[in-house]
Amino acid sequence: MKTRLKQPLLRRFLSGFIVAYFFLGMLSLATPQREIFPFFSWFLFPFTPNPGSSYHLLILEYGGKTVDPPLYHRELPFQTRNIADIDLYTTVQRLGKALDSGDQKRVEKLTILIEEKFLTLPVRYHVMQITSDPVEEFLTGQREDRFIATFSSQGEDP
Amino acid sequence: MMGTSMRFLRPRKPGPYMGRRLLHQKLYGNAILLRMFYLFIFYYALTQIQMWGHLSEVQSIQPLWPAFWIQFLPNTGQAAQGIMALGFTTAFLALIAPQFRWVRIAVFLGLLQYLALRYSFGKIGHSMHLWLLVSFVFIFLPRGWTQIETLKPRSKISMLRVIHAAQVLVMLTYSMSGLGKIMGAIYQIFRGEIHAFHPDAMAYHIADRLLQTGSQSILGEFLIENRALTLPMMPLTIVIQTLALWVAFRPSLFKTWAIALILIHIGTSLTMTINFFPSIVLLALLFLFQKTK
Repeated sequence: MKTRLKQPLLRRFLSGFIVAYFFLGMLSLATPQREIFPFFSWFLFPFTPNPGSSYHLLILEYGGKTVDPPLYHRELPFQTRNIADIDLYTTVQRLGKALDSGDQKRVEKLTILIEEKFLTLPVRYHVMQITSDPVEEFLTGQREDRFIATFSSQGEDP
Repeated sequence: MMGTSMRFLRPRKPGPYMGRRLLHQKLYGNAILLRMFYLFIFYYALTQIQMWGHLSEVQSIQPLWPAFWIQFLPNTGQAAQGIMALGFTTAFLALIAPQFRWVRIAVFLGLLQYLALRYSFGKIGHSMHLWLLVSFVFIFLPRGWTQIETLKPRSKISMLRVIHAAQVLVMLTYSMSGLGKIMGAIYQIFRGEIHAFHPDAMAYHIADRLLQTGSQSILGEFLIENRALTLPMMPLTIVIQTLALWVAFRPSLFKTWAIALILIHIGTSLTMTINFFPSIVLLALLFLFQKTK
């Protein structure tokens, strides 16, 4: 005998969850972090990079040792830094924007976070703005560097 | 109206009648894959042991909502270690007894807490999101799914339904990603910028990413210097990602699409050093190793 098996509750719940995930993921785009963990739009690399500016750390002193000549964090030897750390890059962009907008409270919070989580203390560094065409910079090194501020793990340098 | 608009999501033809032997083979296969799913979560927990000291030392935390309670405790480091212990214990329980629903709830909560803690320091990573979401869906596996021979017919259908829901959810996220790239491209085209369908789009993505992190990738420099080779990469990626949800309802395409998506993940690793290795394993479990005939 053929029996039709109905399970409307489970089916509706699972379908509802999937639909809800889609809409909550899209709605999360409107939040400052563009995500309400774990609801995410999955808009990974939605925009193609164009010529423009980004913020970077120019290291003057690292782990108590003077870096001479100063090097960008991304140029430090692999042994002394976290390789391919995109988290640091993202956090430095937030620091740069906070510096540009003059939000001192946010600057303080972000520098502590950066120093504690990503750098070897004691450390002293400039926050720089680099303007370039990514492909040109990669191939020829052509770019413009602009000084923004100096920090050390003991606080902001005057 | 709804039925008409959603018709494209349904299989084009009704699937062939699945005989009892075939159904049992499929269910046995799925039971093994489910155990492998929890084995991987345990393996992931093992790989995170190295974070123990690091997480316990950090004091500056911006907790995500599942770990909001951590900010009310006097010692952030000990709380972080507590979450790690919870994640490890629940992952171990799921390895030995995934048949219990309370264990599957616990492993979901353990993973939710751990990932929330891990991403409470600024940037949210996404390599384990799918595992978390699927672990939530697997909470609803029917009672007795580890013993197929004694499983009631109703529960067999439930088991297949839950696994299919996980497949749809995973493929939905890829379609969302493809949709995002299309919307982004349209926006950039109107702004007169370099966009996803620009011949050099992939070269710009690779160069930008490598400059951000100062990392070196296996193929990155070669492809930037030989940009013509990257020409089909972005359009192909967008098509494969966008159609993923459609494929979730076409089992005959599961293996092909899983291989294509896995190749995209391998490609981003070789060019941009972006590693979605957990997603590769999940695609293999849910689509590549699935019995579809």
